[in-house]
Amino acid sequence: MALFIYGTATNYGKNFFTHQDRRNFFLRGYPAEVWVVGNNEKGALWLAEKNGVEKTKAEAQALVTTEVEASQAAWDALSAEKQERSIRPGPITIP
Amino acid sequence: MATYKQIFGKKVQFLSSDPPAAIGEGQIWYNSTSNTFKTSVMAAAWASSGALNTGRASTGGFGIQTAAVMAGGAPYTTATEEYNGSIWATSPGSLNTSRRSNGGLGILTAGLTMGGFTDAGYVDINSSEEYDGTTWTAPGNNLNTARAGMAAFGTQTAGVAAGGSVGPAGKSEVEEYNGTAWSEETNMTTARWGSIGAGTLTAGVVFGGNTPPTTAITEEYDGTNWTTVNSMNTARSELSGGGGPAGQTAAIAMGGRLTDPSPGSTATETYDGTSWTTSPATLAVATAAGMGSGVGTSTATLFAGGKTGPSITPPILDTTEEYSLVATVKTITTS
Repeated sequence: MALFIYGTATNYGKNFFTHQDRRNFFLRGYPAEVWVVGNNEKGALWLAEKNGVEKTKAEAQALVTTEVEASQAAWDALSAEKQERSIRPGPITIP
Repeated sequence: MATYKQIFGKKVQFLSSDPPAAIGEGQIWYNSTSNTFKTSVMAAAWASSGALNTGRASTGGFGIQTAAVMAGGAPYTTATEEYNGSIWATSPGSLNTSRRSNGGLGILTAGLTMGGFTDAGYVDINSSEEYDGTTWTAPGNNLNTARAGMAAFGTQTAGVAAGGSVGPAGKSEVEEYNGTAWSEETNMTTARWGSIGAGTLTAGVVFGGNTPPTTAITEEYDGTNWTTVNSMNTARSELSGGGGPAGQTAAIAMGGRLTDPSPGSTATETYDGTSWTTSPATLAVATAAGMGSGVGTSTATLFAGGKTGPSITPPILDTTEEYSLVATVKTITTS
């Protein structure tokens, strides 16, 4: 069985994920509102309750990569002065 | 061997359903529905909370978990928001000077922000501003050394700004604020920016930062001298943290940037005055450069805003996570 479920869901703030959720299953958020959720009953239920859209790992990674590449392009467009006090975003690989 | 009744004064209760976790804390009961022994223990965890009205990174923050302030930040703004434990509300008071990477200390009704740098030309700022819960005033009390990304702790009338950066270089300069003027004090041992401070002017602690590279070094301050103590387990800069007045013996560090060009960290560590312990509770989103100042205590703090990558380029976050100790019902599986 796969370790994780992948999906997108909009973080609406309070109670989007609770302390108890965090005790019940693995949860990690990434750019493009991608969420990696522990593959157990409570994790799957959480994604469904949040109106999440389930993705394959490849689809989720593609969404993250697109967001990172947009951030890299924005950094490349900065002046040299601003680049000196910032760091070019690197790739993000989801588990 | 002593029985449960001999220790606790009662027999183990048979219950058809679990009591609320907070009520059952520290007790043992037998759940006759699941045929299991249960208990309730306090455990730390991060949970989502209300979003900022203006997403931003590298801000000056201060206060406690239920009365916090975030001021300034990138994208460059003078906007100030207050958090009541559930939602962020925009304050009628705006900073007089737009700035990012500013320090912050104090409480909601008596706060202080200092330093940072401007958008135009990335000029380091030396001014400080005081907050009364409604309005920012800039009394003209300037840092002796204009800089950004300093650790700040203490109160509006007994505050400390330690380290920071002038341009990309880390600094070790330390200044104290007495409510009227800044005075230069003994430098930290390790020059750095992007670190966090907690505690008081006479019992403070500064941890993490970027020398460069990112560092886990922790230093304690007694109002006169700095002493290097045990390092954090995870080296990182642009982290967030807290501890309040008790910070030198009860601090917390979370998030931050590990190495260049890594994304942010989810790691949370607590400090007991001697050593750092990595918490099993992690941020849901690996984030750096949120509230770049100490907010809350080691058992009740928050992380708001920030960025998932190392750069100031988008995405800049508007999200909030709260760290608390919460009672959790556990099934006893081993004797």
